Amino acid sequence: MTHIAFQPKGPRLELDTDYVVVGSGAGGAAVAVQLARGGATVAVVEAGPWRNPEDYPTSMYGALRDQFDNWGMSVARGKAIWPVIQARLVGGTTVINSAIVVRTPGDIFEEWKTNHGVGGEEMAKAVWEYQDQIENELHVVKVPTKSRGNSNRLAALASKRLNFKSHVISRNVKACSGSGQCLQGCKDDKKQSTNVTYIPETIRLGGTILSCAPVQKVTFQGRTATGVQGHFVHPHTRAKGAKFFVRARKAVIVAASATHSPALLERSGVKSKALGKYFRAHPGSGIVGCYRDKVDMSTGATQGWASTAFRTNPGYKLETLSLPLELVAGRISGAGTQLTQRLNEYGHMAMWIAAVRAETTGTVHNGLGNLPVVKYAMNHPDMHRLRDGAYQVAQMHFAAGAQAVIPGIIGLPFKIRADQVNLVRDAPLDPQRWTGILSHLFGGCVMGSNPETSVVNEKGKVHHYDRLYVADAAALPTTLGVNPQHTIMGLAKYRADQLLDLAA
Amino acid sequence: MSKWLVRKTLESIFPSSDGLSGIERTDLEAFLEQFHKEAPPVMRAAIVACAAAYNVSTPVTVGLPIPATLLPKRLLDLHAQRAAYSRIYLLRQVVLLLKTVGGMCWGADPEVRAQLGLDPYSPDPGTWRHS
Repeated sequence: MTHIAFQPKGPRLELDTDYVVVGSGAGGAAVAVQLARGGATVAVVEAGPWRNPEDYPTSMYGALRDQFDNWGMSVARGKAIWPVIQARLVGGTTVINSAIVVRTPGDIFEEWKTNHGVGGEEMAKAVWEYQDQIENELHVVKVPTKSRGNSNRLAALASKRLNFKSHVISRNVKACSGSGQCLQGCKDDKKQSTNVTYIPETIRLGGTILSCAPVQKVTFQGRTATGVQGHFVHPHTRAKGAKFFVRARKAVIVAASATHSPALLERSGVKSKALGKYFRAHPGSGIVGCYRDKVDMSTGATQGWASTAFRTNPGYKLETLSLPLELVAGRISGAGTQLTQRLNEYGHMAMWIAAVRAETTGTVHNGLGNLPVVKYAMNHPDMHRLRDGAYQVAQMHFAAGAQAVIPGIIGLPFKIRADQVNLVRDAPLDPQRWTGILSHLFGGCVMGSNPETSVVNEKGKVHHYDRLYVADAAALPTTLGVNPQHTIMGLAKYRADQLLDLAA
Repeated sequence: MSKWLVRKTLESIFPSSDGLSGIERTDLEAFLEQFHKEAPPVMRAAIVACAAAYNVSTPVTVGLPIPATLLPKRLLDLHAQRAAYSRIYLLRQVVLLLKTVGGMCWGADPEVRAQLGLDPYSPDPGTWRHS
């Protein structure tokens, strides 16, 4: 078994396997490797190409072109238009994220049990055991002191001075070199993303990877999933190549992301009242501090510090997020000479974000060209949380010694001084005035015991369908208030072992 | 014509200022050529539409019914600033998209990066695994 990349037009490629996994990110790769370790034959079908660290770009233009889904131009439409960030390559978003690893909080399993009839203690215990395993396999460690960079150090100092709990982030990064290139993929090959870990292992264990192979449809016999079909797409020219059909003897497992999984099931004709509903996110916004001394946020871990002290009340998390110059150029408000004068300060800026554990739900449906259409309008309580978080971040910057803060909120001065920080506390709640982003995405195929309000059951099986499963963030029925990668992976491995038990 | 329009627009959004090169001093022509070749058609069309909208929005920014490309330098700069802070959300979004694309060129330019004390980028290989 092997890796099959783009195939030009010709005879249809056909494969037979026990399990087909759609998607190779956190969910898809984790489920695939666990199935392969259990002796099953697995085919992973990934829409994007397979790029090794030596193939990664260094510029953000290259990253958008080579790694981001839809060139990073996917958006959630609501009252405001906010970008939705995901990757499209073997490894999925694990290639371009900050590799943050946070165990699923216990209250999440309780909430799922109480409100959705799934989860509870048994699932919690199992997922945590898989998370132990993942932490060993992916070399999860705290960001080493030498790689933290000034932005992360300043944030730690601020939380100490303001006396709230925070921590150095744990990541699946082996001996981080602090190159500040997490968003473009780690060219130094330190990040243990699934394209360099679980996917190669799946191949070694006899699995097959199809890359450049977006799945058009899941195929069915009655209500039993039988495989997936589509055609290869050239990663550079976008030309259509050969058709493919991968037959699944035991199950089709969809793990194509919280936007693509529901869209795929919808265009495959899956009937469920809850399909595409209950889409959730952690919407966030960055506040930039301007310091007298050089910060140089382009070096050091992109995200090395976080706080979950406000996760349950009022409901947001705080993190550092260093952005490359190209993205800051787009994000800093203004245009003309005013903009370039402002960008002259880039070396003295540090950006930290507040991301809301939002209660807002949206929808995701299949659109033209198989692009998911996301509708998501942040509600008033969530905007309040975002503003509270932004205010906290602004105060942190001043506590760390910033001379000024750039709130990036239309209606407020471009820069505010320490004595003006209350302007952020009283900032307008209109989402159109904020520069925000939806980073962590959940739902669309949510898990639950009631088929009227959920798409999959506790085991990830689609209600009323056989041999069809969802094993990614699309199945999570709530937000988490922490980075979701570890939860997605832990649950995916749990699903895989349940499938192996079922087959046995 | 469309590339010319996008180029002139980006030059007005990222002009040179004290001590920092503007986008006109970068290899913008080559960047736009590459973008035109590589970006999905919808994205290319969106950028041209944004450049067009930016150019005809002068009545709401500087009160003159003249395309931005024909404005004298000082007024063009005022137009850029006011468009970025416009009360019209869609116009602000237009500027945001143009800044995002322009930022990819400007922020990756070796001269700009050197002026800001940043290392130059090595070329993007654009390669992938074939087997």
